[in-house]
Amino acid sequence: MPNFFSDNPDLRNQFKRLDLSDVIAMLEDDFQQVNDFPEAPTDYDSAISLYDSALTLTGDISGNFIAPRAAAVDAQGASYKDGEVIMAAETSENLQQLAAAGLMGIILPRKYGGSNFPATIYMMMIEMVSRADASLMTLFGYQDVGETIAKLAQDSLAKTVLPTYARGELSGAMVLSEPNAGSDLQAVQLKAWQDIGGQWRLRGSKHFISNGGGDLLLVLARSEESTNDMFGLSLFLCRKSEQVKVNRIENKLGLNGSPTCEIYFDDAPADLIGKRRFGLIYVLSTLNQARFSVAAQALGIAEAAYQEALKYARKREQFGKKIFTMAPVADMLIDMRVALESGRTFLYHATQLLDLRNRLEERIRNLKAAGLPYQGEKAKFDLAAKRIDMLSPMVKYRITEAANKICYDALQIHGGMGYMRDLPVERYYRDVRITTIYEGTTQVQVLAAAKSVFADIMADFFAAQAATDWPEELQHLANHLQSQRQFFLQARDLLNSEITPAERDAGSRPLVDMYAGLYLGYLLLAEACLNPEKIPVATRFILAEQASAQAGLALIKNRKFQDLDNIDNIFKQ
Amino acid sequence: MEAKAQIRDFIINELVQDARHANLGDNDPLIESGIMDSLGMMKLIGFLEDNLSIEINDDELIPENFSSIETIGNLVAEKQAG
Repeated sequence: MPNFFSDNPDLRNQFKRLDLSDVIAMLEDDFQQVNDFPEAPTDYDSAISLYDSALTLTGDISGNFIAPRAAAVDAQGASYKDGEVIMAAETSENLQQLAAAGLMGIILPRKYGGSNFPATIYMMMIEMVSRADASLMTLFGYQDVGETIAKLAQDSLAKTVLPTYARGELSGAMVLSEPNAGSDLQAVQLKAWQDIGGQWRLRGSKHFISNGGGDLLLVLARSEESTNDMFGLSLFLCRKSEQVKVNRIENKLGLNGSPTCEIYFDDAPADLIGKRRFGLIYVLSTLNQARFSVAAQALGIAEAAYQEALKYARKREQFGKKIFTMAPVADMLIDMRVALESGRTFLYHATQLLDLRNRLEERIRNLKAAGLPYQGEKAKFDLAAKRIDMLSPMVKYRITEAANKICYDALQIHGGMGYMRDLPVERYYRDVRITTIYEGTTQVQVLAAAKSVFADIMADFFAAQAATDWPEELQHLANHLQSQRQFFLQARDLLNSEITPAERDAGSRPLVDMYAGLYLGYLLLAEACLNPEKIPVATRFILAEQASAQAGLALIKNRKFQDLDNIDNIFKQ
Repeated sequence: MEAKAQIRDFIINELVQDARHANLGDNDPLIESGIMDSLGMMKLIGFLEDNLSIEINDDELIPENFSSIETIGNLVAEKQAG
């Protein structure tokens, strides 16, 4: 029986090489939490052992319980009747299993019934659960709703709702999008008003809300009359009631087990969370983790697709031989594996930085409150925060696009069989498609990452890498990375020269790709130094990225994007 | 370094990150020009709280206070004085 943790050597390898020592010490209050919570770890090793057990348990449930039910969930899907959202029976069973295993409050503080785990471990769990059934992500993967309540709500409110949430008895949703406010959340119009007794009430519609029939809804609403911008929005916690009406659920391409709802708030009572007017700022501060969650989901789906493709290619014979021995097929399979393993390196490198950033933020707040010096922590925080600002959109963009390519190729390897509903690969192909769209489209991610890329925020890191003495057998890869760095600098200078903003924006995508390839190339090179099994992955990745960087530079040099200045003329008919 | 200079440095280095805005003036519009979008506002508030020990209250989060380096500097000066 497959355990999705123990059967995945690369995921286990990523887990083993995590360096969370600072993060765990801060998360566990220097291992003093055990005084109040006997289940808390007493030192670093016991924390790692606890995470190992929880990951193994998640892998077991994912591989042996959730995955066998995924086809039924997809076929039945979530449904809607008389204002109620009805989950597929198997989805409810999956959630019961995860809740019984104590996995629904993984990142919540212990005082609210949670497990107080780092986000990195939670992301590894999301990857495994999504490999089993991607549609569960919007239920299992929405634990940051609880985390936001823990961070912003008054303690009494948090204590009322979070323990039941952590036990999996309540589910949550982020309620943000409206027909005219998708990527541009400043345009949100749903009205929040106070009645004569001072009770906040919500009125208006939201759409495309994953798990919108959930019990705890975090709603972005316009609390300030006569505003039309980011300054008029606040965040509210609204509980399921008769005044929260699900009007319909969407009929989608994939993730059929996850209900995507249109909701109408009929003067529904709600609690203000945090400060008035700060709603969009709070929502944006949850974005980093949300983007990484989607990247983890995409990796999980891609892993499932890769495994199916490999299994099929090993079995399928054409022209008297197994197709996986044929170079065109083998080349695709190796590319898929390289994309998966490099994606994992990128994601879990970034989530460790996210954990560090978040824990340092909390530590600085506590030091300030105690009147103690915090400059040392502040310098580390600034560095981590700066990298996370770039990495969260960059990692989400690169991994979700790569995962779509993996699922596309996995279906291709199956030939005509892949196009049929009989095999799961067509489901992966449908399910993965949303990942480049929700929590910010690829195009939005590229522009978000581009600011840091144009500023070359990793210049010191690249200089240090270039000055490193690499082992002789890897030196040629380091040389390729140095030439990639030159391609990047030339391309950036060209885009910074006197060209139009449209041409610059369009040129951002190859530029961001060059930077991501360079950054991840060095991460893989470092990994290859420690683990010779990674040398083939690092080699193929760096050689391919160098060729892409060269091509990207040529696109910018040749001014491929200059016709964007004539958009009106091009599309006039 | 005075607060306004720190704010200017932060906006140019962290929000704009674009050589073409290196000469941003104290009264140049930040919101209309797109320099200060919602993500930029989130980072600026974090910067003011962490580096200048200023906490922005809900009634202070209005466009008038964040429209230029000058108005942000005035808000900070007022809060530091008060």
